[in-house]
Amino acid sequence: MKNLVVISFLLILSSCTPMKRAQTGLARGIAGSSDTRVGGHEVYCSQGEVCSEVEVVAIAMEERDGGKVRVTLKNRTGNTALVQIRLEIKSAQGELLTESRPENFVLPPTQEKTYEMPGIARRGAFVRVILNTAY
Amino acid sequence: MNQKILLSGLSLFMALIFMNCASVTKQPKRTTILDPSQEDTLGGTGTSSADIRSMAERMAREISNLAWPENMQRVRIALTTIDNQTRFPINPNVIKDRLLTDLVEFSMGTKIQYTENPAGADHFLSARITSLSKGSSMGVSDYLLYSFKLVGKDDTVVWMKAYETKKQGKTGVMYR
Repeated sequence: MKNLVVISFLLILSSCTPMKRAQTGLARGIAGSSDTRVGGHEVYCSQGEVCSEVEVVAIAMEERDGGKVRVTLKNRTGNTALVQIRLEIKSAQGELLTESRPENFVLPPTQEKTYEMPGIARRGAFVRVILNTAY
Repeated sequence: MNQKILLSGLSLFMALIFMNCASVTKQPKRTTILDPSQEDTLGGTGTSSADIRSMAERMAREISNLAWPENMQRVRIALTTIDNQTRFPINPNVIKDRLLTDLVEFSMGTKIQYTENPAGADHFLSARITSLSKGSSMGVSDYLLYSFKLVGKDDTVVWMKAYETKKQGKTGVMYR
């Protein structure tokens, strides 16, 4: 009995991390983050559900420093969609040049809408769009 | 008997695993710490911290990338008033301070300088918050329009931009 208690205690100490990893790994496997490319730019969805409901149709960046970035999104559902969008501007080597704050963006049911961020574009860079649930 | 002890030990072990594991998603019940860009669970149809952060960034990025006449050595912009004409008691300095922080950050290396003293400024940045509110027994709806305006010394509007929100919810959330 004494041995069992000692073994149990040791197992508890060592099992938290692998158990949590298994749990979160399972959750990720079900929810599924995704990385896709749209017109030479990147789109990252923290949960696959976000990108299955809201689709990034196009990404455009003005080819000048301080220009605009436009991301066209489509709500594929019949309900109002709320996503949290963040932009990262990266050099061709992958260095982060600038980034925007997360911003809540609402899309009416079934509609396409363009999210625009002024002053963030960098010449020769590419955009990484990060989509999350807003709450 | 041995099997009984083994089963009790195993149950205890499983129970302890689930109880003992710390998680970054568990916070003390009394206070929950949120990211300022995150919406809280209290709701409310007025201005949120996420709105302030988003609008300040947008306006600051716009202003810092404005094209100015080549002959202007420097542009001195004074932040003047933020006129709140909504039913929500917002401290305008929250918007003003967030905006000024972003303006200074995004205008580094440009010819724009900012001041809170209108004397000596050649342009004046002001904002007005107006709203359209509806209410019924079902709840409330508020459309908020934040208009930012940059005016020259000769009263010419040099630049103007709006930020809008529309939120619907239940009554009972107080803004202080």
